[in-house]
Amino acid sequence: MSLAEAKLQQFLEPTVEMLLDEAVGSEQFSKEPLLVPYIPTSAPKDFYLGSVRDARLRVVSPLHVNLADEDGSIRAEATEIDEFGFGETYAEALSDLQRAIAELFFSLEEARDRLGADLERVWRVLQEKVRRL
Amino acid sequence: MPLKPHQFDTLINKLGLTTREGSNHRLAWFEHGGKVITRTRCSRGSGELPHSHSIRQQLKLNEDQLSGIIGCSIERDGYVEILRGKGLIR
Repeated sequence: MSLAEAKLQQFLEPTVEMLLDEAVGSEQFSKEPLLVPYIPTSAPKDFYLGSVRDARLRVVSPLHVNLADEDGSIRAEATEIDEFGFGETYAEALSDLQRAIAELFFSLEEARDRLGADLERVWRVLQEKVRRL
Repeated sequence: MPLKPHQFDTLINKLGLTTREGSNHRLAWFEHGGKVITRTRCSRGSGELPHSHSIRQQLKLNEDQLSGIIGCSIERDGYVEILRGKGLIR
C-alpha cells in the first residue's frame, strides 16, 4: 500500500466507524450497550487532493494538502508546490486551491523553458502529479 | 503583517512584477535574467488580504523584508540580492 493510499484509508476509517456505530445504535439491532460513536470535532488537517476540477487536467498522484485557520479564514495549502487556496469555509478554500493549482499548471507550462530553480522544482512536482488529458 | 490591496500594488510596482488577470485572482511573477523566479497571486476585493503570509512565502520573503519593500527601504535590486542569498538566482 502506498503512502497516499495509507493516508486515504486513515482518513476514511472514521467514516466507516460512524456508519457502523449508527447501524448498531438503530432499533433493528440488539439493545446491547451502544458503542461510543465516533464524532469528528473538526476537519482533518492533512489529506490528499485527487482532483483539480479542471476538465483539461487529471491528478495521477494525489497532492498533499494542509488546512489551517489564518486571519479568520481557512487556508488550504498544497505543501509540495507552495500553492494556496482561501475561503470562509473548508469547501471554498479547497475549491480556490484547485483553481489555483490549475492556473499554476498552465502558467508554468507556458513558461517551462525559462523557469528559475524553485519554479522548475514546482513544475517537476506538478508534472509527476497532474497530467493534461 | 496583513496586506491591503494597494500594498500589493506597491509590491508589484517596487519589484517590477509581471501581472496577468486569472479567473478570480491577479497573478504576479518576478522575472530576472530571462527567468521566472517567483510567483504569487492576490484575490480581488477590498479590505485586508487574508493571505498575506502566503504571498510573503511565495515571494520568499520574511516579515522584515516584506515590510521593507512596502516601506520603500528595499527596491528591486535589494530583492534580487535576497533571492541570490537564498540560491534562487545564480
